[in-house]
Amino acid sequence: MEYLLQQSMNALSLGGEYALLALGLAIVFSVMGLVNFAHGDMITFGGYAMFLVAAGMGIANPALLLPVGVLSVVLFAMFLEKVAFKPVRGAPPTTGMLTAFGVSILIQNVALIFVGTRAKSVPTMDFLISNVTIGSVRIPVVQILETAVTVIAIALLVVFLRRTTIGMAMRAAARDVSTVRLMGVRADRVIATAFAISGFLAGLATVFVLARRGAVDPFMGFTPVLKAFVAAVIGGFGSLPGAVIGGLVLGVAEVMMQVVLPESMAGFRDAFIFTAVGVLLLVRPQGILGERPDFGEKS
Amino acid sequence: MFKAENVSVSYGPIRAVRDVSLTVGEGEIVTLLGPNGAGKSSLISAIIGLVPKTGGRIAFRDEDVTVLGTEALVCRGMTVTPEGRRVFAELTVAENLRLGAATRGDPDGIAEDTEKFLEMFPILRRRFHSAAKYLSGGEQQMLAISRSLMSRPRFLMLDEPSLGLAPRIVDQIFEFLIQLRTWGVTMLVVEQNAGEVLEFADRAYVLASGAMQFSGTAEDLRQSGGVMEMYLGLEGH
Ligand SMILES: Nc1ncnc2c1ncn2[C@@H]1O[C@H](COP(=O)(O)OP(=O)(O)OP(=O)(O)O)[C@@H](O)[C@H]1O
Ligand SMILES: [Mg+2]
Repeated sequence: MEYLLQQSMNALSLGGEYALLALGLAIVFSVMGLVNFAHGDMITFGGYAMFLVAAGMGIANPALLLPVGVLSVVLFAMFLEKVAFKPVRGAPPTTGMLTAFGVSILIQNVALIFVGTRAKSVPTMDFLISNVTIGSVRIPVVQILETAVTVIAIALLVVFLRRTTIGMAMRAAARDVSTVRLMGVRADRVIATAFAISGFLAGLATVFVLARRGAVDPFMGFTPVLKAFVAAVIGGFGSLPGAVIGGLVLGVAEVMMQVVLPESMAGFRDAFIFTAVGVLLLVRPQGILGERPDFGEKS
Repeated sequence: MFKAENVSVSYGPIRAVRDVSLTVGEGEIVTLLGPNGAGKSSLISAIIGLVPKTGGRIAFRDEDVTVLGTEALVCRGMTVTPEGRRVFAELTVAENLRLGAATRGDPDGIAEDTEKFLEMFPILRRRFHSAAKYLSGGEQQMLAISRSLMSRPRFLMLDEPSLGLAPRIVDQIFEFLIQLRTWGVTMLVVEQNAGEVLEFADRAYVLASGAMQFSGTAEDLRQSGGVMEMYLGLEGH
């Protein structure tokens, strides 16, 4: 029973993290058709920002450090949009994708050159990796926080998308940017907002990624972006509810594999998962909530 | 109040609109007619800044607005009800109307105008909170026009508002346009079928193969059997 509870919490929090990551990817994709492969490197950036503030300025108070992580990623996402993605906006989708790869490689190399290959620990996350004991069940604080933060972030996002004009414009722009412009809404503003939200979600994820691994290194963004991508594909690329569901499904699947697979086969976990994703896509190429690709008008 | 001079539009090597000029006076209803592929939508899109102009100038209320983007033009009081309606399918009727008022900051005025269109088209009230994709074609057109009007435009361009609609619905929409004129909205109505729109339009232009073929009063056009037959597939009278 305890084991089951612990594993459920484990699955829920991991799924939550993947949902945050996938949502960040999906929201940018939905408004501008860009798969931002630099999404993971935004997390790397946030990690280094926290590391530099912690190590360089000697600030160890998590109440200061965590907002630094989140905020730095928001600003960085908006900065990337302005300098890297805006100039290639009208270009074919492959150009955007290559730009994202370029940005990703650039960030990794800047980190390599200026901070080095060695992982740097960010030591201030202690309270996150402590446990709480409820009855006889021990649950890491990070898992509780992660689950709660995911739920709150998704709720805020839903309210934002439904209640604000710019949120409505973002939902509308997912299908028809020209007509959104006819409403007098600047496409620039919609896209900048999408990146800010994407950065905010990635910033939240940064805190949890760091809490789990305790250190930053130049390639720490790779796993998160991969998970985000897989979760988004499972849920249906471009669908926001799909991203959440895809994230949860992926988190649950990973934890289940861990539980079910014998020790000797633990290394094949991802192989099993990707096989399952492959099968899913054979049955439902558009993912769980995605729509069948529409080759009709889209402008 | 509105003037387009020598406007051209090209898609790569295709010259869809060539040196087309057109004026619309305050309070007028002007119709732009022409067969399939004539370049009507291209011209409208170029005017409102959704496709680039390869030449020409646009003036609106004594201001040169040639280089302004779509959003700025909408803020100045021009807008388009696009071809095929283009309602935001996943958004509710309420949200569609709200987005139409995106440039406005007066919640009371927005509520008032919303009420006005719900009064005008009761079906929109009944479907207020359902997604626009569940509306019929005619209902979507009513929503699309109402949405355009939520920005309180002085100059409204409608691209084939009758497209694919039953005659009864077309009548209803055209009657609404006539009423709109009394509210002080100036209009440019794009149509393929000359018949009905000529009954209430003041003036008409005929575009074919990207070039202007005729311009004159609606009455002149009805009389000129040649133009009607050649470009609009209708017998003149
Ligand atoms: N995005 C585009 N890319 C390339 N060519 C285009 C594009 N849009 C329109 N065209 C071409 O430009 C010409 C004019 O098209 P346009 O849609 O402006 O005509 P229209 O008068 O609105 O026709 P309809 O009555 O069918 O709506 C056509 O030959 C069309 O094929
Ligand atoms: Mg057209």
